[in-house]
Amino acid sequence: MDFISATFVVFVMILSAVYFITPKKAKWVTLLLGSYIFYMASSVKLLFFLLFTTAVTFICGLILGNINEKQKAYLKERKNELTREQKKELKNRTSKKKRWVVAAAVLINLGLLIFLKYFNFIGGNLNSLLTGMGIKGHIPQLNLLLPLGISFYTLQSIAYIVDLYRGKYQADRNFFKFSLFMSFFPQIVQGPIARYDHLAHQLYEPHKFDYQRVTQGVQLILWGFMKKLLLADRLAVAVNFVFDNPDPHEGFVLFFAAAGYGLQVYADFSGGMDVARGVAQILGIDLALNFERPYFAGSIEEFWRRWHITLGGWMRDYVFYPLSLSKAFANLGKRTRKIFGNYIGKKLPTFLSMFIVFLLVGVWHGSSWKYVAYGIWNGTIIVSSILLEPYYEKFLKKCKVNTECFSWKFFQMMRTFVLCSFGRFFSRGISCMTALNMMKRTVVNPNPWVFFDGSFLNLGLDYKDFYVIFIFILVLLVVGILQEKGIRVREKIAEQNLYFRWMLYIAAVVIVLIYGNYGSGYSASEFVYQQF
Amino acid sequence: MTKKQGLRLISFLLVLGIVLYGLVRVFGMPTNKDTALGVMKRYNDFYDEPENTWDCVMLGTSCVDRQWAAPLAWNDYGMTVYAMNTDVQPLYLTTCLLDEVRKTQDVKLAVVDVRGIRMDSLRPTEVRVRRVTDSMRFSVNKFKTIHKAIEFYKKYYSRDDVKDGQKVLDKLDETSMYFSFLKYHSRWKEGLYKSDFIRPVNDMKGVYDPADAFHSENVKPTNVISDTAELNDLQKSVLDEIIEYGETTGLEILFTSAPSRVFDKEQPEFNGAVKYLQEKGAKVINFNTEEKYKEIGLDFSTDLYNAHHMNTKGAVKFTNYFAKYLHETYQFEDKRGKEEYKEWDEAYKRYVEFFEQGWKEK
Repeated sequence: MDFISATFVVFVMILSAVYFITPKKAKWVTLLLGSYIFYMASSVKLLFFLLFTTAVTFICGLILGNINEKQKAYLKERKNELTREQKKELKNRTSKKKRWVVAAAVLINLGLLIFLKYFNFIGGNLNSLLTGMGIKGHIPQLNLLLPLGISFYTLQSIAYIVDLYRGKYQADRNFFKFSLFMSFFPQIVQGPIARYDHLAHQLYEPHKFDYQRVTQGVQLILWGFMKKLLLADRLAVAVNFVFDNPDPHEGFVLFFAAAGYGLQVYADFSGGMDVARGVAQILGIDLALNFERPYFAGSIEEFWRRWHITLGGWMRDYVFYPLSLSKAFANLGKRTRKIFGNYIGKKLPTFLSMFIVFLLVGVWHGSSWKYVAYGIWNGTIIVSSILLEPYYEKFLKKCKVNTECFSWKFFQMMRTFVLCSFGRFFSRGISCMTALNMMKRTVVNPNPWVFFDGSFLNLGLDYKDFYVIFIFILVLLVVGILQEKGIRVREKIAEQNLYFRWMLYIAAVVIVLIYGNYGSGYSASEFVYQQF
Repeated sequence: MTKKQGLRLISFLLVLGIVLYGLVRVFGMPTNKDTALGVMKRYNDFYDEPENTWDCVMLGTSCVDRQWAAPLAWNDYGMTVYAMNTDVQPLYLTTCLLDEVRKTQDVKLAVVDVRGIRMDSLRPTEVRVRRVTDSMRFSVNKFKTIHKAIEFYKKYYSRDDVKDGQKVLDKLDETSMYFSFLKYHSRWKEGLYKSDFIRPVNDMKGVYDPADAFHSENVKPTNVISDTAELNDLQKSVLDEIIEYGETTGLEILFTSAPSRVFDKEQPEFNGAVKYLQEKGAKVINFNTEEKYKEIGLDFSTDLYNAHHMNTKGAVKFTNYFAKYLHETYQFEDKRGKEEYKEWDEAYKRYVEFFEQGWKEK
């Protein structure tokens, strides 16, 4: 069931109505049933994988919970009998046990994700390698289906297990409630990647109908529909046109396609998030924020702090910190300091952790070398910008550049936008080589005349489409500026007079319905009278 | 939710509903083209007609309204015979249209033209179907009609049939057939017209009124041949369904083959349809014979505006002939002078003026 569809709107309306009339104690059951119906509407067969991951995570969580509780009880019981060393030894012993459980859970869940998502990619590359080495043997390419939301719920399950290992909270002892946490329908398809301690209790608690909250949720859904239907799906037409056949295009047209793709993904993904958060808000649940105006970022590093925030947070907590704080990396740091000196040597292990994170982020997007390249692109920019920072600052001081004024911040934003857009060649290009070729042709074949000769009108969009795109980007920009200034737009709207608010809502609905890029579309030539 | 909030919500939904209703009305089938406008006018007029005032309804393709001047038949015999055709009207939707008509009009006779029996005419296209379904008001029957059209698509085309590089059945946007706004909302790009905002109505009881109705083209007369082609199962099933509809509902059905220039390659299929209907015991008149052309007085050099369609001169000749036939055969009650049929008198006056003015301006 597509988020941006009338079916989904009807589904949410029915589910919300049922949720609010369900008795308090059973409200979470309604959510669980609704979530599974939603999942089954997309695929009944693949439900097995979700159930499997849920069961594995739940069981491993129970084991970890029991170990944690036993250790806690034992320590409490013998609080005064045990020496500090004995307590430490006990903790080490239980940690070892827990590590086995974590390893089992991570291996099974992540293994399933890697198998389903990357088996053919890894197999294909191994086949090429073996053939290159003259070794006979062939790893078959399997016809594997990727279960809906597996990348999201797998990360969610790993976070739950690792947090239990760290003793952050107690294990969930109700399988059905835990199943709801794993499958909550607004966030299972595209996130946000929820943390158990933030989401679970909200799901299990009964929520009453709250008029204000419902209207705000509806506003957010409408905003999401606008982003998706007015901007993302419209930009997609031109982006697909160029990327599906890039050869006839050069210079600024290629850059437009890459930048357009970035905006398309932003509008699509953040629009979907708005719908997810809006739906959850109607039901009384706050989902984590996943986008915070990424195109206002002054650097790529900041961009990634504002883009897909929950994935970034997950990578930070479950990959970056465990890696950079590990013994192996500490030892590496010592060695690199000896070789490269204090400044670079100290930072190298952190850079390596960062690089690994960005590689993983790249690969997480898909099973192809172009995503590896996408990760390398982002990792390289971030690492080099940190490395070059002192030299950069010296240069700015020498040139007496005022870094506190608007123009400098604007320059930083534009620079980030351009760098991000270039990175999009990898994520949207057909292959890594095509992306590199497109990048090259963007730089070496500048063609400013395309802004005047109507070239952009040959990309599947007419000037009216460009008007819609331009106006909506302007609206996004204004809303973004207000939000950057700390103004809560929805609250501001709520302060306005009733009739103005109604006009605004109705106008938004009408704009989405008329100007949205959906449906098979009408073409006048179809309706020109055909002779009998 | 407090009572006040509940009331506010209901009021808002009501206002939104009204706005959306208006939106769906405006973004409907485009009526800037004359023929689409004609269809919309005819259907709007049909829905405005006082209940149970029609004697007979005519269905078929574009030839029907080009050849029939309802106000003339009214003036001569007091009969109310209305043409509810659409251009290349899908013959397989005839029974649905009869259902639609019979909801408000207790017609005694349905005249069904069989031009649509040719395989090429039966070929379902979105436009052909939409001219009918998008002109219909929201009702269960409208949805049934759309469902039937989609089913026919699936019967006519195989899964692998390709058109314009795309599988025909994959290209069919079923949802937008039911909810036409999904298709027409993008008309904001092409532009909207006065007729999108102000409901167009035909005030001459369905008479075809664009300018080409006053154009004469010297058309080569039909070379009447008697070759007959055997209808295939699909064609037979379409005709069988209409015959069966007449039998089960008690509605008398008269099949016709409208007079015009008929090409040699077309005649065997029409002749086949006439033969099949006769074998089935159905009433059928083939107007494409030398004898009928003569009886009507059809002059191919002056009475048609193109090979397939009569102009108003031809329409007057055909109406005179066919109205006399209907009067003699079915003896519809003469309703002239009755208060509830005053509109038909008005329509006749307008028709006379329209006819005279039209040829004068030529």
